[in-house]
Amino acid sequence: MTRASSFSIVKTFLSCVIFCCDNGKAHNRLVQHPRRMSLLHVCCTTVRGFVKKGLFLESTYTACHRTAGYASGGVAKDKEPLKKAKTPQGRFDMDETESKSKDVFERFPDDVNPETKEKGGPRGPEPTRYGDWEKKGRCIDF
Amino acid sequence: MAAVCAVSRVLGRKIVSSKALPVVCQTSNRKLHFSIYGKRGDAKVSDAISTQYPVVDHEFDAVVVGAGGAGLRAAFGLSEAGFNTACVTKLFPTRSHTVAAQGGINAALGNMEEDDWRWHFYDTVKGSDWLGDQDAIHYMTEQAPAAVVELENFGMPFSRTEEGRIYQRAFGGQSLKFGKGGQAHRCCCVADRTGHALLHTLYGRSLRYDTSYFVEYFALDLLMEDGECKGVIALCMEDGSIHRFRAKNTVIATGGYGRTYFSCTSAHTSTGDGNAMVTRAGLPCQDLEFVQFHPTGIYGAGCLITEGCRGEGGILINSEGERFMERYAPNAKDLASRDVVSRSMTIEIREGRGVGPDKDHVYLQLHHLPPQQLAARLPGISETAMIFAGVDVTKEPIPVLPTVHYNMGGIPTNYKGQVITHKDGEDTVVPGLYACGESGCASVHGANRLGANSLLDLVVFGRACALTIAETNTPGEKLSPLKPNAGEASVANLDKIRFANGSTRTSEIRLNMQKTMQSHAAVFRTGDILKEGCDKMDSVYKSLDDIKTFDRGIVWNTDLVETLELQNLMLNGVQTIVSAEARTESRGAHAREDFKDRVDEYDYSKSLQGQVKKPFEQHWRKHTLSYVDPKTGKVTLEYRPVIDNSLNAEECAAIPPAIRSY
Repeated sequence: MTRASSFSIVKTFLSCVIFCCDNGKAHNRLVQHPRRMSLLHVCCTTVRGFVKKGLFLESTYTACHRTAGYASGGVAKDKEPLKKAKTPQGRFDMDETESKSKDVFERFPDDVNPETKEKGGPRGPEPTRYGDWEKKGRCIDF
Repeated sequence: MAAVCAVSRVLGRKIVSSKALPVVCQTSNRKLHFSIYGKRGDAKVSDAISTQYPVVDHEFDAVVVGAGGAGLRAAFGLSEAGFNTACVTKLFPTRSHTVAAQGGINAALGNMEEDDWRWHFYDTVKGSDWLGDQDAIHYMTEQAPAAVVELENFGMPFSRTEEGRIYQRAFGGQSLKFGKGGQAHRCCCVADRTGHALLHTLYGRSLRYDTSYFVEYFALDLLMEDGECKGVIALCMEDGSIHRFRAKNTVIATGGYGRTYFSCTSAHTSTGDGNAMVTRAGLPCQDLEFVQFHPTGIYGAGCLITEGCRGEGGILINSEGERFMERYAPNAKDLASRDVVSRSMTIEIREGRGVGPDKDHVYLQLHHLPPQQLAARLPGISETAMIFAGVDVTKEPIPVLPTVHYNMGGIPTNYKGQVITHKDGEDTVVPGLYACGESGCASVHGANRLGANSLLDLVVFGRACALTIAETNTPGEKLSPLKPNAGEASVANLDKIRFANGSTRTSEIRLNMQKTMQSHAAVFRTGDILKEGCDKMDSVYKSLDDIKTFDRGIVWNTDLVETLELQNLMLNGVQTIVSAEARTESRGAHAREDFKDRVDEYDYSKSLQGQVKKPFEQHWRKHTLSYVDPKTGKVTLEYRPVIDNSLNAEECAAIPPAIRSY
């Protein structure tokens, strides 16, 4: 199934839902909030129903966004945006090291702590050096 | 509404059954959720309780309330044993508060040096100030290595040594050779997110089995009949339907109740629902007065500042800019022990020298230290202070106050996880009811919890509940009959709150309760402050009758759910403060200024020869059992002796009480 056809199925389904809601078949007691809310709620439950049936809707939506992104990708690149985009479109433009420098803790080489030889342990200085479990100035456990 | 649901399901099925589906999508047979008119065959809708609230009845072999570390371990332990299990939780499993436990988990694996679980047993008994039940502690410390290895086999990525064994570090008051062999290295961790990894590992593992998850279902009450627990009644928050889960075995794993206090590290969802359900069922809660505090928690945010700040030269100052710790601990000053610092801070605040518009906290000053030293020794603290306190740590002080971190007390159980009551001087098991995790009190932590022991407590007792149920029951047993209108009182309460039209809002009553508890039942406890607090809590409890809610709907009514949570918090709060007022001694986390010593049956600071054993009523080495009358808020207290013998005296000798000093 192509992305476009799946998207159109979703569109037709949503218009179905809107149609049903507008008929006002809701129970009086249960739905006491405005119709817009109930539509949202219905969309949520039905969307969740879809998600439960295998993440179908999610994959459809991301697929659609990706398509939309690539279509305008060329235009944005030429304009040189002031902010580095974090969307898939800008992902390969971003320098890996730039975001890493903001991290207070550098990764150990191979994830092995040079003093204690611990592999996969906490980054930065030893968390238990003050008697409690410290991370970034916060006490986690004591 | 129902028609739309039907339409959506029909359309959904049509799309799913289409052949050109991407490979990643599979129709699963797992019952992750269900709708009121939906797939589940054995769920019947009845209006036995009320015609306005249709009730759906489910039948299972076992129900677990709560899906944190302990709840998930119990749930899939039961599913693994073949029981038809339901897991009822008000949060999605990976959002439970266990995810915030970033410290490690203790186990005597012996990877760093020679170790023995009996030494871990000694450390835990000593840490609990001899209020812990030694048979439960024996069970937990003996099972600890097997539990950690089991978690590792489930896929939890512990950090490793060079040889590939699990790396253990020194933490949490652990020693070798019964306290005489120096520091022990027993704490295993997963980088700095052990609780997060634990929860995700357990959740992932539980999906292999056929547990039915009922996510975002708020458990209202236990269904008790003739002193036996026959299930749980819950509100589905998503569509407002009431569900009765009938089961022969109910496991409560709902967590702690930190939100009773104004300043706590717990999530907003830690509201002691399990403790309150048990209280409303007429059963006792144990040792609720033991609440673990940390002196420097950020005001308003509730995250803790490490003691390393004070270790590196940070000082605590009051509204007059005075370094007040010099008066309370002239030698140690700011490096005094945690309870001394907490008490000093509270005294300063009580005497009017607090800072801020409400004068209810003090400052932790770090800007007198050179910024490079601060950044080198405590990397990340400027980020923490900016995010949580909104201050620049190199220019302004951080607002701090003593903060609640853990609740040692909870639902009394034996070492197998079965809930017990104390009748005629004997512990009797309540049939069909089990408890584990922070909400259960086995009691392994006693009067004070050691660091990294609580994650161990979760997995060991979660598994213990599942094993006990598997031993004594068979899957598919016929359920005993239940009255058709069981749970009527819970639904009536729900209806009353939903249409409550008094004068005070839920948030106001909650803030009153939190402020009262923080100023009267916090770290600094004396007789008159506690008495004053008990009276104030009594009036706050009575103000619940005058509550006003605004949302009259039934679908995702958070006003209703918050009010139900407030009722639960209130029950926990009154029991905490009344138990604290009654206990006239200082033990572990419960420290009183007017009774500074521990009162045991013998005076253990002197030789036992020639001493007369005090009768049970005159000493305090006993568990508090508290009952509440939900209508009036009146608390009655009873006591039960501590279990002093281990499970097997030859394998592990019990530790006789002694003075606790580190």
